[in-house]
Amino acid sequence: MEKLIIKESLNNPKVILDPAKKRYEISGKSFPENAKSFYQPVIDWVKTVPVTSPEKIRLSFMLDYISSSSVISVKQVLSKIKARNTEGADIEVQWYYDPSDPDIKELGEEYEKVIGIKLQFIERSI
Amino acid sequence: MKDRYSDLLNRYTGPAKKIIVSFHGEMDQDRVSMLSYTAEHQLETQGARRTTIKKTFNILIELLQNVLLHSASQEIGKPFYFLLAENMEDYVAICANVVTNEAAKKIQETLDIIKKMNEKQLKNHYLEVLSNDQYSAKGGAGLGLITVALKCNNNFTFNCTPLDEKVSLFEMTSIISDK
Repeated sequence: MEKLIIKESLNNPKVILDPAKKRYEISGKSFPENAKSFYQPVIDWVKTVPVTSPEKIRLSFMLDYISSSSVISVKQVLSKIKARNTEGADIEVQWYYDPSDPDIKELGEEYEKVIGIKLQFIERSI
Repeated sequence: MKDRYSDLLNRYTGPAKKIIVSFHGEMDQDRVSMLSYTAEHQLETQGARRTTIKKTFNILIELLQNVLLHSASQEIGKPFYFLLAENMEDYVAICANVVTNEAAKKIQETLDIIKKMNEKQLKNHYLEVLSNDQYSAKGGAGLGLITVALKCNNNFTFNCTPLDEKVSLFEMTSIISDK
């Protein structure tokens, strides 16, 4: 499991997947031109999470805004996490939302419904 | 396209109307960011409600990224025009670009179906499309137009005007209420 860091830009979120620091986070606004290729390294990273003697990983999604094409890509990331957990990994997804903005929380609930993954909902104020 | 853009600017100039952001030119990802962040900032400055700003930002990103992903490839530079204006108590977002006639037909069919849906049907349709998450060859997933419809409470209009035997001008107008 290598470190994966992607810097935040005007249209893509910050990605920090750092096993040495035990810091796992995707945060910011997500509307890259090509969401599929932006999230592919994240999917590839999830595939490398150990499934034997796994250590718990708490991956935080702290998204302020997400475009429709990113919605599909994040769904693919979450589906991969669910599959990896089924194989033995222990990844807990923490889904942060701003209570004054119902969209992000609703999206998390939709993912739970469509993928069948359990998310930890955590309130935050922006 | 330039004449249509000029007409549009005239249409949204006058009493109880105010142009917030407008642009005519070629599209790239930086323009998507620049126009949507400028619009967001302007709406904040003039005291629009937070939920309205969020909805508008959402709609603008979808409209502008549609231009980026679905403009006709024979059109060099992906020309488009865009306008966000205040009209009475509403905000109006208009975006137009050149698409192939084939794409125009498909968009019309999709929007005709969406337009007839109530909020619950739209939401179910959104979940259905989210469940079948295949990207199109151009990277879109079909969620964008449904997202626009949801954010503006299905208060949108559109038209496709054939420009020649290959391409049409697709224009979409969304009305966002600030109530």
